Amino acid sequence: MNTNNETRKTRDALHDEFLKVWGNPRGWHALTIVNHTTVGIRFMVTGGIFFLIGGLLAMLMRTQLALPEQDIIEPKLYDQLFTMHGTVMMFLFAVPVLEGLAMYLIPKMIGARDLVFPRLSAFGYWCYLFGSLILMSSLVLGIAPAGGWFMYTPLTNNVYSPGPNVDFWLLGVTFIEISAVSAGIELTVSILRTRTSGMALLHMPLFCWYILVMALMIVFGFPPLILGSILLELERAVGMPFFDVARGGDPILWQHLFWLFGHPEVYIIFLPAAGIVSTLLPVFSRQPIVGYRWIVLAIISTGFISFGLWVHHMFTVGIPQLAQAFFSMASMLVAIPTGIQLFAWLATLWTGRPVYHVPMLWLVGFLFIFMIGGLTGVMLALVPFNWQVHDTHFVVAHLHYVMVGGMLFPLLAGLYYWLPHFSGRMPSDKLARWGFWLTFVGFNTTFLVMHLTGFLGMPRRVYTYQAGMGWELPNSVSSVGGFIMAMGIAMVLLDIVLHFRFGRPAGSNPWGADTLEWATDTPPQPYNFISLPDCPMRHPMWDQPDLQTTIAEGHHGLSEIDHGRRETWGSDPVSGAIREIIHLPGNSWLPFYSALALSVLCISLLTRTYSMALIAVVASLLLLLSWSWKNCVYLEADSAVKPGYPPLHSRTFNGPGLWGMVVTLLADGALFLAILFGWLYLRVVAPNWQAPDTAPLAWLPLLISGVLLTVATFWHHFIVRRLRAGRDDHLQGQLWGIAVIGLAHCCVFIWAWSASSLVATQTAHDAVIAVILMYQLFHSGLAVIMTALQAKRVAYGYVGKTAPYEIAVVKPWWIYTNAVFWLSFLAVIMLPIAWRSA
Amino acid sequence: MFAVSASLVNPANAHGWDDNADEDFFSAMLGGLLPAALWLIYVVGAGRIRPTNNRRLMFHGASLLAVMTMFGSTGGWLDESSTLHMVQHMLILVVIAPLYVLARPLPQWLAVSGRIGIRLWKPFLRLSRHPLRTGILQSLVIWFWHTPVFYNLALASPWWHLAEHLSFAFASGLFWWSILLRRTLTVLPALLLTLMSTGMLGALLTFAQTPFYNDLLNIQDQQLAGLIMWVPGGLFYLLAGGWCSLRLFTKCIPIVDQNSVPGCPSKDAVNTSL
Repeated sequence: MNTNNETRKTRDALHDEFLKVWGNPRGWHALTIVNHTTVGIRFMVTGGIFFLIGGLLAMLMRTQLALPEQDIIEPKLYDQLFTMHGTVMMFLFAVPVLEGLAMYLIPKMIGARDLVFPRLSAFGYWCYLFGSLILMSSLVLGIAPAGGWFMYTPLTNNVYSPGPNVDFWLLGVTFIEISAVSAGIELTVSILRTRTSGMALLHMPLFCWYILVMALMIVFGFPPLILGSILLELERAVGMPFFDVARGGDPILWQHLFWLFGHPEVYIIFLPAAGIVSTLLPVFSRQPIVGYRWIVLAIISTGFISFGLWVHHMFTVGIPQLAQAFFSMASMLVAIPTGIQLFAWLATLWTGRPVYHVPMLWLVGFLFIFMIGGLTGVMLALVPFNWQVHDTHFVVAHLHYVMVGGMLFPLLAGLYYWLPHFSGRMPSDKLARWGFWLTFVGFNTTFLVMHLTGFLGMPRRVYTYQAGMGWELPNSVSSVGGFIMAMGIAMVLLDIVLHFRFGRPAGSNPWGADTLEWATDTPPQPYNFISLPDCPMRHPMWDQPDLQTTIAEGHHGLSEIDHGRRETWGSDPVSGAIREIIHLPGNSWLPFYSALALSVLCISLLTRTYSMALIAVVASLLLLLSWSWKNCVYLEADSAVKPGYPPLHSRTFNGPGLWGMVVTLLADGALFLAILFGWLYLRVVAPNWQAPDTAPLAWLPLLISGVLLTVATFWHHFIVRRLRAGRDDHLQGQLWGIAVIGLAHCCVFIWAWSASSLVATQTAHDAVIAVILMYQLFHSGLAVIMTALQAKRVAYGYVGKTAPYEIAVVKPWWIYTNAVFWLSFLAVIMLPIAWRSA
Repeated sequence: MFAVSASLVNPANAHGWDDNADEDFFSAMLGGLLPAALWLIYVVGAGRIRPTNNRRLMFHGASLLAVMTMFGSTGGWLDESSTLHMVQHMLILVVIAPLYVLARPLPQWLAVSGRIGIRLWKPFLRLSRHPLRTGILQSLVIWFWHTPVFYNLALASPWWHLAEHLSFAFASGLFWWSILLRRTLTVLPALLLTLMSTGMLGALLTFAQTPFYNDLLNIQDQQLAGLIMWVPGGLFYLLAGGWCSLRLFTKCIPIVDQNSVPGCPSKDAVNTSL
């Protein structure tokens, strides 16, 4: 008894000590919280609210369509409703909620105390919130976008969509996507670099694999749409033609850019949901998942395949018939990895001893609905059938089966599964079952019948229909089903709200799960774990049932807190061996203010008050730079670590910052490739492509500017190598030298640009070149600013031989800027000479 | 340099084999003899260092294909269709080169060539440690030879044509070497990059409204050529991605027996706890 009291006392003392460092502030200061648990929950709750709003819009549409020739909703409003319903569900609900869930769970599953860039996650949340509010305000003001959720040009250009409606979509969604990409970067680096000691890649819970691939897909998949939105906004606001046929553009380019994002997006949404299935099924089957490695392989190949199939969304826009045949066949490829997963799930169920709790209900619902969605998907991949049902309600039914079946049902299963983790209480079984059955029956009533509506020829996106076409009955059945489904969702909502008050306490690990997130307290503390356990196994909670206690009593690594630092392990990306201690930054106002400044920029671009926009640009630049300056003040803090521990990450060359930089540059590179694709595509496809007879840019000054850039890059490379060898003499002077050469490069570059004969508003040729030049200048300029700041930091003693970390982070940026320059040079100056048609 | 080489292309001379049949014949012979010579060296080397049967089989298969592909350019029937031409390129890029690499013929070759061979190979061995760099190199080579001016140059002159094929073989050999024989995570981004860059080129050929090359039958011919590069070509990179991931896994996992998990609670235990 006495020893029990003793251990409890040390436990509580440790808890109090940790809370002093990790605790969350209350009141207004709650806006400064960067902790992943809080940010993850904020993402999920906000996304949930948008789900309800999106559902409400759907209810309005179903009311309008319930009977023929109704005029409850006028056509213009109806256009806004279906556009916003799609946009809200895709961009404001599906992606952010899944990202929020991943942000909440990933660190706990891999035995870390927080995500690797906590302030970035907070920043991502504020960007998401402000972007969504801007977008939703358009609905309140009655000027919501009305061009369909994929915003096809030319319907969305200045001529056919005057007014700010489309601008709301372009700016708002871009803002939200920046948040998505930042979350993608953060999740990638967290999964690769912050796993607890000994957790090799193949020890990770499958959910982490799904999220890793999803995060990388976001990193590669979102930039094409960001680029497309920027180009369309430039066309609308400034008059630079990219999609305007008369001036040498091509509207089909928008569709390519959109689906280059849009097809991976389907899997970005499906993969985490499948990850939930692969996490829950083994727990409820009381048996490890069958074919772990095959599933990992399936996840990775899904990621690869999804980037090659975008053309099958464009079968009816007049692409060559040969291409249709090829992509129709290639679409069948998706069946292979999906099949592997499906059979692994079935085998797990078959060989296990399944228990049917509420989350399992939703999983079985998922299997049923998603299978139907997959089957209609195979039908749609067949070109003649695709032509037949194109733009009918059949497509609407198909995509709802895929999205609701493939995402909402697993998400709700996951919600019920992790609810005890969020709140520490169990939901009510009875309400939950009512919620499931109402949703399931309502959903199938709505959308199974809708296939028929489509076969009967009813087109999508019409606000009403005449009586006597045979569409009345299926439409009213669908509307009734929609309301049943809404009742089911309301029931689920009620259950969740009530369980906070009436739910039974869950205790620890109520489902008997195998993964580390159940080793935290329920609800979790901000620090997650008092001590970080070794985890060279796939089922830590099954192998060591007392893990929760030993963690809380501080028996494992990194349980010291008297230094006052927020710390977590930094580990090897493959083997999970410990490499360094990552020192995490704490709460801050900077993410909130930066996002606020960016949203002011967004609003001023919407209202086209460019003086205001300029101020906002300067303000956000200053805020972001001061963030980068202050983020590292921890270097002043005591940097001593316990003997036997690895060094702090700021003492190394290969810290998380470098990884973050490289992954960011991957996203940046995807954007650049999309620009190059646009440039070449318009060249060879646009019907009125006009290239001037003489090259618009003189090559010699550009060459000089490029040589200067290359010199600066090599010099920077050289000083990093010297630092590695432990030499930092004249470091500050050298950095200033690099910055000056970089500045000279920028000046020559700007001069070459201003001396050119480019008129960006005249032809697509000139407009695309202008975009490439702007892109280059942005990167060169930032390289110079970052290097100058580094020189200042050397002067202050923040950076040097003992803390070489930051200079190593800047190096990839220089290399990338250099690569972009020479690739652009090849594409803009050299290629036109070599690409003359036969 | 671009301007000079561009001026070399004489449209009237597009079907070079009509005019200089001899030149064409010799270059094709040389193209075929090169892999044949490598084959011979291998056979001699295999007498000194015995390869495994699998590798031997792969090498013979690759060599046979290589010799046939290279001799295939004689007679000039290839010059009449971009599609056939593209098939030839894809054979070199995604079939012959990886087969050569998988056969691991270096020990046999070096057994014959001795020290000079080792010295010659060394820089390439070093480069092959970086899958991303070899991937970029290969992409640049592919793009270079598929820009119309250089493609047509290769059509017009059999010697340029030979150079085109050799540089394909060399760059893709190096690429596959760095991909298939290295177990690092960077092979996946390198494959993705290759997939994206060849896919982009294929997409441009598929969607282009005007013909680029002098060997076109018609615009469908160009579309088919583009699609072959894009879809079946991409499939090979995809398969390689899967294969490399599998190999990576077998390296980095100390596996525990999956079926006996001691702590896995029984069904009853959970039921009572709920």
